Amino acid sequence: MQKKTARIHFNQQPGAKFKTTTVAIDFVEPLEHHNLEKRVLLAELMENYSQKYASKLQVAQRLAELYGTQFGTSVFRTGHQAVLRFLISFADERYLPHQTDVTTAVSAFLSEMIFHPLIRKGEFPQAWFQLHQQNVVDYVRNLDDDKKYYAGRQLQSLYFTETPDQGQSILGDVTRLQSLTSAEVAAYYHELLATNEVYISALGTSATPVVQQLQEQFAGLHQQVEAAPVSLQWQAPQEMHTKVEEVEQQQSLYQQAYACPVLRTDAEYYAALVLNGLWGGTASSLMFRDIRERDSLVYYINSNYNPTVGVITVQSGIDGENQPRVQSLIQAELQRLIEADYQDADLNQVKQVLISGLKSRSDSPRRLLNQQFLQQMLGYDEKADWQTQIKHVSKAEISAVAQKLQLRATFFLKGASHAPKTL
Amino acid sequence: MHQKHYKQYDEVVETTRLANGMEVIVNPKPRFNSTYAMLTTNFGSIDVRLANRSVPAGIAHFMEHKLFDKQHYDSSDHYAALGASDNAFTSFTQTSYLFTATDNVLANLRVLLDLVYHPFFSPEKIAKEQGIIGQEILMYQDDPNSRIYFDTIANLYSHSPLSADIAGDIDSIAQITEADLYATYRQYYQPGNLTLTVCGPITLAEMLPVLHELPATSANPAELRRLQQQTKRDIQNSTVVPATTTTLAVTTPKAALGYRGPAPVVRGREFAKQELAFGIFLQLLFSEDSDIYQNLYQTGIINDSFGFDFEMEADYHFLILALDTDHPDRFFTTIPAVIQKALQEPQRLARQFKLIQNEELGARITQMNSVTGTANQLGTTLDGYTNLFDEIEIINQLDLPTVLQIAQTFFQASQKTTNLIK
Repeated sequence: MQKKTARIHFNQQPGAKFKTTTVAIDFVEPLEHHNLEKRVLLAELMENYSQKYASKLQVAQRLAELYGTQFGTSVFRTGHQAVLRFLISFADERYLPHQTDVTTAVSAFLSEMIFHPLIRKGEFPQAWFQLHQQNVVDYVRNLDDDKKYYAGRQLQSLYFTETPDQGQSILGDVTRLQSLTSAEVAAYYHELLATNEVYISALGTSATPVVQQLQEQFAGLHQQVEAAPVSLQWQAPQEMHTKVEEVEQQQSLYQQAYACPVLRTDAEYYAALVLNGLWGGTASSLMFRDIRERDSLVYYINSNYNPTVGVITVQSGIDGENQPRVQSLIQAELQRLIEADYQDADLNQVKQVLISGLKSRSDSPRRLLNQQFLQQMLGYDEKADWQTQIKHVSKAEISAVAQKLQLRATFFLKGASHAPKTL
Repeated sequence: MHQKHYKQYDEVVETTRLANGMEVIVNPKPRFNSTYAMLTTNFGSIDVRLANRSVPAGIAHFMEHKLFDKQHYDSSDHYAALGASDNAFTSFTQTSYLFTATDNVLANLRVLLDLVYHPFFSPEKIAKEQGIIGQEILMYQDDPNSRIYFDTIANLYSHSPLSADIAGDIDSIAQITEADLYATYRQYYQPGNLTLTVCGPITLAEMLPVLHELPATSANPAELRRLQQQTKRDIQNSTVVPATTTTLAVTTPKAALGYRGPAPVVRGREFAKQELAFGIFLQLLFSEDSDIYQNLYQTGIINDSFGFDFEMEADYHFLILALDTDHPDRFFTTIPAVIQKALQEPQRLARQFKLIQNEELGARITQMNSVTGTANQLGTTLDGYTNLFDEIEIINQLDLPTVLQIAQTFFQASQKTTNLIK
């Protein structure tokens, strides 16, 4: 049953470790394929214009005046949620000439960009809208020239064949991007403001004053919403989906997607994390050491675990002729995980690398903010003893998760020309 | 050991030159968890000369791969056992080996020094590596973004060491022998040609016991300088190919405009100043807070795919501007005109100069948050180890006339190329 919940959430981590303060403002709604393109174009237009700063140039110059304050928007997905993020990062006053009050100016700038977009008579100015629409369309089209990206997109859409909404690129579809009107995007802005959950996270010396100022600015929005709290849900495809495509290039790319029924908020999360590290997620992994280093069969191979969706993907760059061998070797490495057929030393090494990677997270403002956002949205607390949790993951727990993995999609982008070429 | 305090930023940089000639630079960051260490040799893909002969193209990158592979172990395994992440990369002029670690930093430092100081090459291991690197070369050949950049450089310095792929080609790497690797290693990996930069919760004093375990002598620096001079001549004597067009499967054509300027004649802090000034000139024209950029954007000459890059090294200095466009000719004719106009009417740039200075300051303060960003900016032999903190001082002292004069010097003596992939 749905109930009223708070819609606007604030979080701050003050501290002087970093020489900047970073703020993320995230607008979150359930992933709906018919909204993706509007969110992309809205993000683009709100990054570059407002009522007061009515040109890209004015926005850029204002940021330069604020000592190179970095500001940008982005769209991404977390589980089954679509996120539109405003991110801003500015230097601490203690390092600037004349002790400039950048904090107040940055809060005012954010408020201007979020609450006063360049909408006149119900639409963004046509010329600006068309220019950015075309640029976004070109950008999305050209992304496919990067074959790693292209293969990843194909794999995603294969994996989600049965639930196509999930298989959509977060950047939307080119045809729908082209068909949107300025008025539709402007109308969507008001919908976003009225309905999305908002997470405001700040980190750094000025985190407290900046959050105070933003609280005042967001006070005018409805503070509650009829909605179930966000939670992660696991959906796995029932069928296996496979595709082979030929392309005029020398190298081939081979990718796989496995359904993994372990989510970020599940007890087995750490076992799945270690499993991925051991399988292909680190340079100490079985795939890297055997398939790349021992057998020289791939130029790169790695696995990725997405704990907000519950999927593990494998990416490799290969000579096309080797595809059957690579495929069976990936499977063989998974079998080793199931049978716990590897050294304790291998396991410990991977745990060390994972712990080190997570410890280094506290050296990055952006990674800390992401963590803060995820914890707040999904309502979990990262256990203070996460290091112990990783250390205690046993071979049996890894085997238990490994047995649950189901191969559900493969994509093979086959290079049509295998002839070695001299530069 | 020398310590320099940058009080305004609450930072210290410690430096020393070891008895064997290796330079060590440390920026301690006690509040951070990670330490980033990078050991660099001034030896890149352009260095293919030995005393009496040349070695095959791609040998620097090949050696980068092979140094990890010791007789009875792989250095990456040692790093991993200590919880570190490691990597390495090769450019035209340098090869760098690096690690990031949150624990066991001194033990990881020993792995790094062992990796670089103790080579082991054998015919079997060389043959195996040729397969992997062959794949890497093909991967870059298939990548249009990589192609547009490196092919444009090849146009600017045709038939010179700069025109070869950093990784070499399938034929050249097939020719690399054990003897080539050892001879090249001895020439270019001598300690006097190495620099270690470190940033993280560690001090130079804590590292010294490990550093003192290194051999105390270096090889022959005079011979190294003679070879570097020859390489410089090889590059300087090359000619410019004015235009090329290549066919590759791309959605939108890729266009690049390249400028080859005169090789820098200065060294040390003056080199850093000229590099920073030239960067600021390009920001004045082509950053988003420039009205010139905005005009180009709004008239569709450039779009969001537009980018530029300049490289200033001992032997060369070039600028590349590139984008994806259906109208490359407009781009090729407009950009040179825009640059000429900016040089002839500099008063238009005055208003933006202060903004760019502000921006450069903010960018460097942000960079101080990152151990990687800082360690990568602790200076090189060429710029006299001008670091991130020194750069702020140089930028604050720069004025528009100096920036313009440095840009004039580059463009007046420059030659152009255009490159199109469609």
